[in-house]
Amino acid sequence: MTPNAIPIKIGQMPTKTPPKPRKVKADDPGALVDWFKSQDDDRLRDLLVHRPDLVHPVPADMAKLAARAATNSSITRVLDQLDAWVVAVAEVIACLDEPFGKKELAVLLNNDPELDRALSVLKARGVIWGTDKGMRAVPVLKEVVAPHPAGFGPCFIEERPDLTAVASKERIKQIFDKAPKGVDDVIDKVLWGPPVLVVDKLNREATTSSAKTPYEYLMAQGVLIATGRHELTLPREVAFVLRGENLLPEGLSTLPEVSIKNTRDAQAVDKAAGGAGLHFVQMMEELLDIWGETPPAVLRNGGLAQRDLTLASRICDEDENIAALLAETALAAGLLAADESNEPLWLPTPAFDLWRTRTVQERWATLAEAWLTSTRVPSLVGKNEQVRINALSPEVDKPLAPEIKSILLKALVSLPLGAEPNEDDLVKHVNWQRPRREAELVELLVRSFMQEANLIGARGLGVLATTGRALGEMRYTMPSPEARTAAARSAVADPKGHVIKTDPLLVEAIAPLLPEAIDHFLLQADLTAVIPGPPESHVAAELRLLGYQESRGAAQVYRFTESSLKRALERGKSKDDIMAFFTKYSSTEIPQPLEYLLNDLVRQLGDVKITDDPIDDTEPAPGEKRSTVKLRPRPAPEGSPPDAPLLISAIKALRLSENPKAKIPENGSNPPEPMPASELVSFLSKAIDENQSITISYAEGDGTVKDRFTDPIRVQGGLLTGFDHTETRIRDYALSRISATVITKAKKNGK
Amino acid sequence: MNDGPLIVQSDRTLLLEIDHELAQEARRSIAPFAELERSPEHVHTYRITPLGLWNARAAGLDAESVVDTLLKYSRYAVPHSLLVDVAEQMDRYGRLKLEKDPVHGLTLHCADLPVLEEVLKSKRIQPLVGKRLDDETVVVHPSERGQLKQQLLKLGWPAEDFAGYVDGEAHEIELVQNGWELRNYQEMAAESFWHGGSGVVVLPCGAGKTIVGAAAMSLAKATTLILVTNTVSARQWKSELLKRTTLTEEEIGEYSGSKKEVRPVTIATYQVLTTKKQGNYAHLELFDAKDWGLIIYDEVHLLPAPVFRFTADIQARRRLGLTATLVREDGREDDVFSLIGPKRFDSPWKDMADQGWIAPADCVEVRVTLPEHERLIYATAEKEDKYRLAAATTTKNPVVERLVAKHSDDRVLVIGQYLDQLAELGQHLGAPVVDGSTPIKEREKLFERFRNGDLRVLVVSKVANFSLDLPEAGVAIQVSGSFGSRQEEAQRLGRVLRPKADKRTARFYAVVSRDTLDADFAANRQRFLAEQGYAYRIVDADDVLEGKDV
Repeated sequence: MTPNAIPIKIGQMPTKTPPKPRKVKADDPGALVDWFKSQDDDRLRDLLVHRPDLVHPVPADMAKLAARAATNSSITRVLDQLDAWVVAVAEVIACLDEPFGKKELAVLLNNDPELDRALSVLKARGVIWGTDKGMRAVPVLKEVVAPHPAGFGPCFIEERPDLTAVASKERIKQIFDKAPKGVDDVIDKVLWGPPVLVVDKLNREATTSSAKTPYEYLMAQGVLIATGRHELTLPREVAFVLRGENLLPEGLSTLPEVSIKNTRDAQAVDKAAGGAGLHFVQMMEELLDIWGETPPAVLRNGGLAQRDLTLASRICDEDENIAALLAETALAAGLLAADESNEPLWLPTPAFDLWRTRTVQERWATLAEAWLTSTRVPSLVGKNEQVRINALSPEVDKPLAPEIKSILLKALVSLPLGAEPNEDDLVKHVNWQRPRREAELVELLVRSFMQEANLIGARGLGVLATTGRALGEMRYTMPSPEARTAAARSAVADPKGHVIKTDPLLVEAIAPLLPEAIDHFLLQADLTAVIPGPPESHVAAELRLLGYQESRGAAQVYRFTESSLKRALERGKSKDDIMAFFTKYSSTEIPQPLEYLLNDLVRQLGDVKITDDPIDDTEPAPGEKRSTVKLRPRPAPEGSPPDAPLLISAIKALRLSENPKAKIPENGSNPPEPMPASELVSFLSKAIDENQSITISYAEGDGTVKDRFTDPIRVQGGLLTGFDHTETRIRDYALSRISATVITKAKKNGK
Repeated sequence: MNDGPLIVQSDRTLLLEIDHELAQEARRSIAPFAELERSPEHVHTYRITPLGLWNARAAGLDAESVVDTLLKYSRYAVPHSLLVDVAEQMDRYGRLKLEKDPVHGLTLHCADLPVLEEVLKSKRIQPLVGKRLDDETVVVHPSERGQLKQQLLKLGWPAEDFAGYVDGEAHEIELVQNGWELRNYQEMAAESFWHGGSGVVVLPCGAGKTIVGAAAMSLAKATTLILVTNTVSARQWKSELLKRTTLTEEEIGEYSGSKKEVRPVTIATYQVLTTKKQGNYAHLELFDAKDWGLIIYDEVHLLPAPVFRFTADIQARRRLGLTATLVREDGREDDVFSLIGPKRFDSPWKDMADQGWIAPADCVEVRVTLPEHERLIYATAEKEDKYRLAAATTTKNPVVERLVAKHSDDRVLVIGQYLDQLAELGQHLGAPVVDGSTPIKEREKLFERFRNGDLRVLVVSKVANFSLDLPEAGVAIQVSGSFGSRQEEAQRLGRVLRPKADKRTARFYAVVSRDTLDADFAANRQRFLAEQGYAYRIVDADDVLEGKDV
């Protein structure tokens, strides 16, 4: 339970009598459902924001809400999201009899000032309820924190009545006074949990005099109890005495601080991050470009073959970790997908063609956001579990990833500008924030993400840059309901239906860090063009068509060859187009050999202009393949709160179910008017945006058509979700069954 | 944002914008650790390689100063991974040290246990080392010194060689500087070699590498073995040494196909060393014929593979490599590094040109169109005959004649590959032809006549032009010759593009047949020349024939 166990020195036994665990005198706060009913809308909203599982689907009434809130899975989910101190307090509570008072708890925890925070967090999430004078915890809490709440072993008083004698300050002191060497170390191991020891050689019959080891001595004295052939357990009764004034380790209530290793110039940090971000975008483009021409196969397990990863690393001229990060980020951003053929290939999606027409900062924003919310952990690639883990395979997925990323970024944001943190401290910090997660995995994630942040341009010189701060402020794993609503609406597909998300906040963050885009190049006699800096995207796109890229980085070098120019001519460029382009953007004279080469080619091929239509930048070049898979918008990360309209409606529904006599808004005099199917969606979307109530004519399953008075919440997947005032519940309506609609009455702005 | 002249690319190339005011300064700073890859007119490309970084370490540069240089001149953020890589690579050099132990002889020493364990685990290293003396030291058999260095480099842990050299048999050699002076870069080159012990000096063609060799000999003052590419070159070395040093005719021996003299200074050709008799290299004993104090390798980039093997065995002797470029077509740069030694001196090409040590050159490609009937023959010819048909067309003859006439006050070399074509051209031009069958004596006579101006036009075959020194040729016309390796071409052009006494620009013409393989090869040549920074133009044969100014 506690990573930072503080050894108790036996010589300094607590002076006052330790409190007995089973002594309670507090007010009874009643049932959870009554507690929920008594909460105002804000508190309910708070509960639902933190426990999104409670509104999926919206419960019919408060009783059902309370029942769901008290299930094992739901409480597990809550505790998994809490920090070490709050979890520890919850675990101590699980050891107490109910109801309990705050005062009683405060004594056990040595009046730790952080107790109030823990209690209010637990209350806000519905784990405990009541007032300071008397509280209860959901019964399932005991189950969730088993087997060793707060590091305590089980109570043995029933089986071993002699424990009553042992579990006293005086007796313990006597036992330790006569103890052989090494007893303190043994106690240190079990005192703060886990309370079970496995001992190689254990003589369970040993007595105080025949004990050969400290283990046997403590067992003979009744401090440890043999619970198996090689197993000893510290009983809860004894641990209560040994722990003394505070049942939890000292210092657990404070967030472990992150020390600073180094301080760097913030400007230099930003410059480095900008450079890394640019590089990342360029590598991505390069890799997907090549994969469009020679796509790697999809392995049977869904991954990418090691050989292809090695090739990818060569394409980028970087190591395989970076290649894996690129592939995984491309997947997360929807730029890469497996196609659906019989022998599937990894292919860029049509969204990639759209993406590459954007500015560098927009392209970066797309990648950075995908990285932030991605559940993929590229650093697992190449590791062996049962089998070797391949990139793009399901084994790379860790649902915990975005949450840890978010915590990590938040921690980094809180550091002073330019501060380079100590990574070990960060690991401790994040582990404290999520004590119930597997510590090893958390450490792996933290260390990987720090590396990835360097590569993607969120950090520079090992320090969080402006870009990283922007990412940290987005906190995509737990965006507010309003933010999620806004994000869903801003992700509008382009005319072809491909979605590229570019968060303006991220675009703004990276833009000033990027070197200024350059729209000219130098043509040289060795038939190369050098763009001496990050290129304007249209210039780069054109050069990509005319030549082969030779060097990348901050600047770009393209080489023109017979075959590259031939390709351009075949794609419908004319000699005049090309010369005009060179004249316009080249800051040097066009080398004579280049012109000659072009003339030669035109002489051979004929200068036929195939089409007058402008070339569509978002079309892949001939010979390049694209994935046929239709990408669905990515679902919100697990644990994200429901969006705002749903939340408002849910609370409303719950309230109405409590009070069935609540006034149902009267229908207006206007009956619904027939609505053509083509206009329905835009009508509903408008009503949602403007917070209007509507009446619809709806054909129910039994064929009857009824007018439904409803508050629309969202339109998605052919369904309208709305709050039905007649049924006082949130329900879905099939769009195809809605025949007529009318705006009925403007609602008050919901809170 | 820093406005430097350098752009550090993530693919480890450095782009240097040469019109930038800091370009010269930046060039000087990056030259010690980055290899110049190409130098066209506006942006030069350098590349950072592990070998380049180790060379820099060997020259005393540390990672910090390399990083500082990159940061100082870079216009944009330097990729973090590159900086890390620079530091890591440079840190690898010198962790392992070859040392001389008074008791155990040659030892390999390493204070970093994991590194030593790593290399000793290698199957290729195990047979080369002997007893483990302690955690940090292992005995090396003296004869495996070169092998070991080679293998260590392949493992990425290049050893620094502190084991020293034998002095060799002393022999008095002094420079005689009458009527000429050692240029300061030549002196610096010889000095840095001497202080480094062994290594390679990189100088452009025409910068006087022979003189650097002579200067090194005057520092070593010991018997010297000089290895050169061929007999003509051997003779040139000999005459240079006679001119520049106190050495006399009797002290210099030639060891070639025709003569087998072993004298205090012996000049041998690679050819004779690599000649096999009954499956054995017949002339290996030359290396042991004397207690050589210095071994000079001319044109290191052409060093044949067997010579590397011999070189591995003579690691206790001082070795000086001379070359215009460290790039080898066979990619054995690392063998040069491990067996001859790291780069000890390198002078940026542009600096030399600015000081007038290298001639500016003007390259012109003249395109002729094959007549209809030849085009038909070409179109239906077998693949292997096509190049010959296109290159040796008689359509080229009037163009060549015209060009020779145009440069009536200059000395002209006509270079070709096909003997009948050359013979025909010789007849047309009334000029003697030098090819592989011309006896050495006859060749030297002709060259001498050409040098002193008695002969204005000379037609040479590919075989004969190799490694010949004709500084007064102002014009070269290439009529045929496939594009071999990059070095070969550089070498050939370098030979004829020597600086002229009156500093005039040299001309290089290539006459090629349009729309044929000939033109394809020309494209390669064009790229190569442009990358070297030569101006390159294409003109039409008709324009030449009409007497237009080209």
